[in-house]
Amino acid sequence: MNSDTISLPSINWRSGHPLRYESLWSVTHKLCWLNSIRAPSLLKHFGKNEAAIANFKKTWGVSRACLHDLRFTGALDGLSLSRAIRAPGVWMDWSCFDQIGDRQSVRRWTVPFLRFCPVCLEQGFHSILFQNVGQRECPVHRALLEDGCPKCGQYIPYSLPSSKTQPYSCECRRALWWGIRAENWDLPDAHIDKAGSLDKTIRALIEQWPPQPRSASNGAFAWVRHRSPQETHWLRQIDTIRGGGINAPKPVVVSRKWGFEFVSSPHFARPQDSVYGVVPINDSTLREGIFETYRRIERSIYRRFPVSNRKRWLAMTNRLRCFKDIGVMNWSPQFLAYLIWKSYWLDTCWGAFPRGHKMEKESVSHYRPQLSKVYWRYLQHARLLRPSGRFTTADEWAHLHFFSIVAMATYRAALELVGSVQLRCYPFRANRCRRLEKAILPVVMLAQNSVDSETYELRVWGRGARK
Amino acid sequence: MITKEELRLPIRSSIESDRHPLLTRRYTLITPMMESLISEIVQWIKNGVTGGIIEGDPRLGKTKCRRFVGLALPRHFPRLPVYSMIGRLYAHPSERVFFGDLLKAFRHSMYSEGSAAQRRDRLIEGVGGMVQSSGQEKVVLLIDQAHRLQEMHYDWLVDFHDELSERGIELFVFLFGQRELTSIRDELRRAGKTQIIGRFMVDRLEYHGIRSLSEMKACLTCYDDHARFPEDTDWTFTRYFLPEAFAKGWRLSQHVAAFWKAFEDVRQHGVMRGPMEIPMQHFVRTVERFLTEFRMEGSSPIVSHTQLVQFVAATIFAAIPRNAQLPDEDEDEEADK
Repeated sequence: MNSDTISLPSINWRSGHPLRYESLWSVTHKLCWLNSIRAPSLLKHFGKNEAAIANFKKTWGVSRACLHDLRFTGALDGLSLSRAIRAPGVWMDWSCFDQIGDRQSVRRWTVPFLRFCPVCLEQGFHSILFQNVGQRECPVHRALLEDGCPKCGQYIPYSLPSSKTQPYSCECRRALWWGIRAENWDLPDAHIDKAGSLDKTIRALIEQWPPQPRSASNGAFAWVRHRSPQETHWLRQIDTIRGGGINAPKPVVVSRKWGFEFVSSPHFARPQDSVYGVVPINDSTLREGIFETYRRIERSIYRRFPVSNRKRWLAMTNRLRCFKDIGVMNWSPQFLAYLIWKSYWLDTCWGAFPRGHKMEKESVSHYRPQLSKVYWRYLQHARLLRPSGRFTTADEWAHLHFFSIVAMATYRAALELVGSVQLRCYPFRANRCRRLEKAILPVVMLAQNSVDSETYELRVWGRGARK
Repeated sequence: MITKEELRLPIRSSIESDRHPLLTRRYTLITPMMESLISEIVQWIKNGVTGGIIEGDPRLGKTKCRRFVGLALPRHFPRLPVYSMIGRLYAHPSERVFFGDLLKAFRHSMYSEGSAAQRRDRLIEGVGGMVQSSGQEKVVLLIDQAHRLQEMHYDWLVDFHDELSERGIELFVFLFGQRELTSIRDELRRAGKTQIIGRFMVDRLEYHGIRSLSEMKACLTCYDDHARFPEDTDWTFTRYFLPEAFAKGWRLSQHVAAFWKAFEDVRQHGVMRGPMEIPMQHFVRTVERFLTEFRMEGSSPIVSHTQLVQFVAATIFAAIPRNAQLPDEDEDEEADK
């Protein structure tokens, strides 16, 4: 035997890896660690050639930054990478979403930052399954998925390690897997079981989300249309709708103030201004508000889901999937805490509260009496559930659509008080919204019905562009 | 390994003469000096001597010997990783460049990437993984032209050695170079750099050329019996160039005295003094010319003293000038009688 038979591999890699269903992110970060390289060097050795990348960009219309997105092979040459690390041929199929769905649909239901099971990550494992927004917990450990650095809470880009970051680490230099420094990466015994569990889940994922043509959404819309023509109208016109109204069967005094939460805030809905005083936003109405907002804003996701039958439909949530007729959004306890914190912060900005980011329990109890109890209760739960204190994807989504949710929650709460109502949608003219021109956010307000002076309207402004 | 009985003998014309190693000069003779050196290095490794110097004058065949050591050591230690590196002359020693050269020596594809620290980490990780897969827990690095290395390079090698030993890997570094290596070792000793000497310069071997008739005979026997082309055939070099004479029992080694005398005579006209030592390069060039430019007498080639002297002198053996007075043909014939 001569020295040619035992030669240093062209790249450093550990035997026994990659693990089954290990994601491209995990493998490339390990590769970069072992070879002390970063993205440019990795692409130099395992990148597609310039012509291929140019063709890729032309085909997919993505920027160079997107080429580093590890949800797809992007600029990486998967074949040469698989050969170099001596990975089995099927590994590439399970390490990224190339084979699972078309790029645009995959980008809708996956997150561009790292989501991980903390227990798996402690063993140096990450699966693409965790990138699915519908995945709430690890199928092996039943641990809630995290999506932020345990130390700083920031998102970790799901991309190749840049020249400024260490592999398998956050930008704050917090290592996500300490074992990467070890001389040997021992494969845990539970790995086989892990692979088995993941196998089932990933297969279910693929079966559930096959790439479908646009016409596949007809089933969902047909069901919605059958159930509520008015809602269908809202669903279809949400981008252009500027407001809506309800005809209440009994008189409502006009509120002089407007705001995102006017009926629940003593500042915006003083008792003398409103017949109802304070409309309580409780768990139920808030849940409804979240659901309504979710359904209207993210309505386009309907086409991604098969409708099993007319009375049951599947809606994707950011945390888990529900098979209910209504009340789909499964919002996290943290979100509620966040919601209240956000309203507190806004009030602070507007000068209603003392400035400062620290929220005191007394302040919340005083200004948000309806929500203070649930806030503290859920905050405590959230801390127990999630030591990092990082908001989940659902929370982030809720953050994005915060005002719509509150508006919808208020709307629902008002409906509960008003009783039976008829929903009638119509656009408001610009001159009637003059005062709202300054408002940068969607608002809810009560106003006198211009058609019938005996009735009053609850106006809800959407996120549509104003003309 | 193929036994002598299993060797085949295809038709001579089927062998591509242009590619014959003797003509392309791409072959290695396993000389007695090489064999003794191998056995010595094997003993070093067995005894845990982590480094040694193999020094000698130029053109003795140290580089060929180093290549042969790289091939032969795994026969004594199965799956032992052996790597070779050629010492380069650096105007300004750079850790980054040096570890890049080491990575290249270890045949790593990413030898030009990253900073010095990154290259060092990559090297250690790579060697660690490779040694682990070989199951030997030791790795041998042969550095040719080691006299070109500077003190700083040895310090980096010490770091490399220590980091590998932290991982339980024993690094053996054998330095091949000219006689300057001894003076370098003495300088290091005077400077108190015992950490370098204790690791890489523990022992010293002198590589020498052909010093005796018996050694020369062994070398000529290589042409007769061991050196073959193609390797899986019985076409030894002598048989290929002198097929008829070989068939009748003629061998190069039978004329070892004539070769020896030719070298002795040329040496008398040269400027070299001291005990007789024939560098391998001069020897093999002489034999090559003999095998390609022989004159036949009947079925055997003529081993003429004059011709051999001319061949030897043409190799500039013993620094003999080209216009030196060489023994004439009459003397040659007398000598033959």
